[in-house]
Amino acid sequence: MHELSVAQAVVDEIVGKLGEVPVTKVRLAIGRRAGVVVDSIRFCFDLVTEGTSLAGAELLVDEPAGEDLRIVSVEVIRACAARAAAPRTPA
Amino acid sequence: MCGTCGCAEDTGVKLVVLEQKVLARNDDLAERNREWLAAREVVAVNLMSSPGSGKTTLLERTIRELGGAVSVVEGDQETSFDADRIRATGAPVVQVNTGAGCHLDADMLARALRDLDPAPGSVVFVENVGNLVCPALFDLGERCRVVVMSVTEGADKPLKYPHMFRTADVVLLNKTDLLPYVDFDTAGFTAAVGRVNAHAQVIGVSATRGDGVHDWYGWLRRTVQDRRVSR
Repeated sequence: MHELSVAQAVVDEIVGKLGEVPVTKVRLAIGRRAGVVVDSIRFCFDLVTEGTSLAGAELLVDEPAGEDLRIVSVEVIRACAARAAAPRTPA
Repeated sequence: MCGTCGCAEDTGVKLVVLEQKVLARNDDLAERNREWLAAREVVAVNLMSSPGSGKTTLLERTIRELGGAVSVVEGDQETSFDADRIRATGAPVVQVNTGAGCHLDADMLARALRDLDPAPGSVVFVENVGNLVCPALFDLGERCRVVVMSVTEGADKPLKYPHMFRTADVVLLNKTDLLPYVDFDTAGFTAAVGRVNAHAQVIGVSATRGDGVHDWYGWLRRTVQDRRVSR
C-alpha cells in the first residue's frame, strides 16, 4: 500500500516547507490516473499526522483528470510575532 | 487581536499556496541517483512484476549469459533468498528488505548503491518488490524500466494495472514454455500493452528454457549502448 508512503511524503513536504507551524487544512490534487487511492490516503493521513504539526488537520482532495499528485495549498494558524519570537517550550 | 497570546497583532488562519509535487523528495533523490550512476557510466535497470512472474530466474540466466560486469539490488519485504540465488551466479548483490513497505524508493536505492559500489561501465539490475501496483509510482533514478509478466497470469493485466505497464520501456512475457498448457491470449496481451503504452516492445521469453532470451539481451545491449551515447 504505497498510500502510506504518499501520505508520509505529504507530511514531510509540508513540515519541510513550513516548519512546525500548526496546519488546519490540507488540499491535495490526486489525479484519477495518479495510481493513488483517495480513501486509503484519508486513512493513512490521520495515522501519519498524529503527533505532528498537521495533527487534526482537515484533508480536502481534488480529483482532476490525469496523473497529477500535488499538494495544492494548506491553511496554517498564523502565529503573532511575540509567539514566534518566544522560546519554544515543550508542549 | 491575537488569539493565542492576546497581543494586538492580527493573526488567524492563513492560506499558503504550495503547488508542490507530493513525491518531490523521492524525485530529487532519484535524480541524484541518476547523476551518481551517470558519473560512473553505470546503467540501472528497474525490474518490476507481480510476485512469482520469474524475475529472479530471469536474472540468474541473464547474469550468466549476458556477459560484462553486472550487479544486482534485490528488493523483498523479508528474507535474503533472492540475494542468495543471485550470489550463486557470482554477481555482486545487495539485498534490501522493505519490511512493511511494498516498493523500493530512491532513498533505499541510494543506500544500496553505496553498499554495492558497482564497477564503472557496469549494469545494475534492481529487482523491485514483487507488486504490480506500488513500484510504478516511485522513480529510483533508473535508466529503463522492465516489466515482467508470465503466461500464468491474466492477459488482461495491462488494462487492470495500467500504471505499471504505462511506465515500461519493455515488457517481457515470461514462461512461454508453458503456453501449450495454459489458456493465455498472447495476441490479446500484446494488444492490451499497446493500448496503455504505445512504445513498449513485448518480448516473449522462457527464463527456464531460454526461448527468446537473446531478443531480451539484444534489447538490453542496444538500450545500454543508446543510453550511454545519448548522455
